[in-house]
Amino acid sequence: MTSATPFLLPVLLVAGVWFVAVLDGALADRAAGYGSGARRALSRTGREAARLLVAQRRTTLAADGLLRWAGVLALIVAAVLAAGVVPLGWEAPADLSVGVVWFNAMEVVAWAAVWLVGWGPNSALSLTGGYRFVAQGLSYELPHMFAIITAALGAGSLRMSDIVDAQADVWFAVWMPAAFAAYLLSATAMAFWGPFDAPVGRDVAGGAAGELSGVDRLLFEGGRRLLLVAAAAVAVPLFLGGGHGPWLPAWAWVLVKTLAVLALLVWVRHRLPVLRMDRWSEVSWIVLLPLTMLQALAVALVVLARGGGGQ
Amino acid sequence: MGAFGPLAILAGVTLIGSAIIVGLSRLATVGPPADGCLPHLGGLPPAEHALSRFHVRWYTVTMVFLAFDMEMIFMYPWTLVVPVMGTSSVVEMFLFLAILLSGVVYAWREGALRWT
Amino acid sequence: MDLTRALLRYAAHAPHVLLVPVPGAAGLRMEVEHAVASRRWREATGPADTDVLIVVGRPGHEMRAVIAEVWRRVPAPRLRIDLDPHARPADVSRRLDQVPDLLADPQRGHREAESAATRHEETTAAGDGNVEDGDHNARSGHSEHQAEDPGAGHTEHAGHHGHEQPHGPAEHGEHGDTGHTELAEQAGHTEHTGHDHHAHHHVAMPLPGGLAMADVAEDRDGLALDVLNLPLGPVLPDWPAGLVLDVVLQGDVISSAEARVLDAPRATREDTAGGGVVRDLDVVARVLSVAGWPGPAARARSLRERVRAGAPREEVAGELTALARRVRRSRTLRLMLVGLGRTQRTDVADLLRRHLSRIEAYAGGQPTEASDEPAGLAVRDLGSRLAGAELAAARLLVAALDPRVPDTAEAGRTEGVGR
Repeated sequence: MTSATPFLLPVLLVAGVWFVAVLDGALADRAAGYGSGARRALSRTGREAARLLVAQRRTTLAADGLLRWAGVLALIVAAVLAAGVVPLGWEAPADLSVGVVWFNAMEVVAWAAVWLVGWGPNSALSLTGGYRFVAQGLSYELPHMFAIITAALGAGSLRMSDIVDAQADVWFAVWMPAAFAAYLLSATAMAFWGPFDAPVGRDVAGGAAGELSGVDRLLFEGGRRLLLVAAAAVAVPLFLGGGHGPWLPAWAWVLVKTLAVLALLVWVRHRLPVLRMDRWSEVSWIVLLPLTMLQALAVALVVLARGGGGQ
Repeated sequence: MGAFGPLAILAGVTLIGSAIIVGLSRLATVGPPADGCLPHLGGLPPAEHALSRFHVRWYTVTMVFLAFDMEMIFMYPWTLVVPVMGTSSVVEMFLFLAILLSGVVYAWREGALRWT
Repeated sequence: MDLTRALLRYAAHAPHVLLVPVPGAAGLRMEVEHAVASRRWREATGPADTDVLIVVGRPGHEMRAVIAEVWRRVPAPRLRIDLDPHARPADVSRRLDQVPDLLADPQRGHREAESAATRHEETTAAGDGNVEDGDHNARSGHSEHQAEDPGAGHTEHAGHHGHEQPHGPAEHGEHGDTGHTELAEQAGHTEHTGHDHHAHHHVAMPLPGGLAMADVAEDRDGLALDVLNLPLGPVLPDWPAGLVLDVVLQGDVISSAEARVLDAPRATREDTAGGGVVRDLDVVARVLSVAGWPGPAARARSLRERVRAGAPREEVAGELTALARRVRRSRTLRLMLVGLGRTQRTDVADLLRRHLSRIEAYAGGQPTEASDEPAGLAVRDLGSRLAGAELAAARLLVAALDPRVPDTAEAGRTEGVGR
């Protein structure tokens, strides 16, 4: 079916990116103690984008320009494709029978993309940033996979619309809270946002993005926020019931829920200092991973009790 | 599969959008790109190219992750068969996971998760 | 042109600012930080992200060369402001008010773009040889190498390569295998056992920029891995003024480091930072900023400004205690700082707590002893403290230790080699 959703989705994602940028700017000003208004935050976002459009690009000595470009573009394309399985309302642009696996595959492309962006400029600090992201990926990816598998298990299907249908009575976030929490954490980590932004941190002079200027930086920062929006958007059909809800039409509910998750993720950024992987790894592997495994076990038992017969 | 058609369209739209932004910036930018800048380490020039083999001290975590990742490949289809196959599938899968988890605990006790 | 002009004018009101503090101008640096923050301008992470470069103080000639290098890497539209050390807040304000108009000028933007893009043709202001434009062909030499490895490599090279430069492209030139032993000797680390990986890189032409490929040495676990010799320089975010850390980096672990201050004799002049709680707030802000918590860091800086501007203690006491309590109670920060620096004989968490206690004591009206103040570490001892530290940990150590130039006239280099 050729509907307009493949063309609508990028527009919605860019609107989400705008929302993230505005909210982030407003919260940053407020956290610093300078009160801010929405209008100032709006205009700042526009100014930052204009600044990057008009700035001169640059390349470093003996840089691997092709790989860097590949990284930046891969980040953007992966983010948009990852959101391609989200039902906007009831209908997704591409309702794959393995939608959950597709989402996971696309966000893993971001691993390579950010590393390539760190590798490209032939700069030691950029490379450090790229490798920090790979270390981060190792820590969040398993709890992430367990969380989305738990949601798929609760519905008995890997198709996003089936998972939405299975939440007609009660949302998965209600009876799989550990999986939901793990998913939110991993959504933040996959977009190297907030407490997980060591790969682009100030202590390594901007990290993987440190040598980017002009439109390269605009695309990279846009890609990063796109990934955050995509991850937040996927949380809605997986854990928050998709379009289900009273009074409003389905697409409005998807919008509201996505914005709520995004607001939460943006807020978390200003609450916590940066989590470095050499301290966080232990927590992630020893606490978060068994927790998500136990959650999966609990959900499996519920599924069995509910009506899994078999031998 | 027909379902991948819209995804191809999405990818195409994204690439075209990025090309438009790059084109816009090429029109608007104040000058040609500055090439050959030295990488920034604080002002002084580096002695070597940074494109070298980076020592990842967390390589042990990589190996543990790989073991788990191979197992996750089985978990994806497993979610589809649990209602059909019942208790035995759950027991087998979680036994498998318990074995892997003991590997993680071993790595933890050996200090592989702490690399500073 | 119209699009450029419109976008420039729109963007000029939200520039990113890179501050380059010069040792001895700490008071002015705080003033400028405050002026920039109150205009809601963001601080840049590096020259690629910069629109306005502000030099705070009058740099000596080493520092001048470094700043020229950094300026060369800033893309257009760009603006450089040099502030005199005796500038008053009103002057600072006036200079910063001119920034949007200057940045919005498209002709100026085009000129800057052209000068930034054609930078290879310029010759370097060589300074005392520590700063070279690496874009130049190897002929111009790598004097920083020569300075660090004075005698070792030269005599061997003279025989082999005649007119060729001793470093960089030479090993990868025609004289293939002889390149191995020279690499080993000039690095001064370990011998090459067995096969040298650089054998693959032997091409007839020199490497771009005259830089070498990374050498190999044993790391703290005994593995032979690539080594990068990096000067972590003075123009980094939240970095002590004028400090240069020459590190030997393997992966992201520092095997050894040497610390020095640029223009050392000048740097011994007394810092006009103001003592007491202003310095504590400054250190706390820096540690929090390096630890990646910009909100409380900015809050600490604004409180520092208010105290420095002479706000009475009662007015700021409540906010000071609130800030200190928030930082103390943060379990995440505690997790991040636990055991940090243990092998480096430093406890970052403890240093932070001591500064916080002093801030709380000030807010509570109790007198703070000068002897109670965690003394800043002398720069010459900094290198040995950082050996074996990971890069992020090293940055936190530098921020918490707050290295100062010793009062004696020589603030020379010392070797800190470690494991």
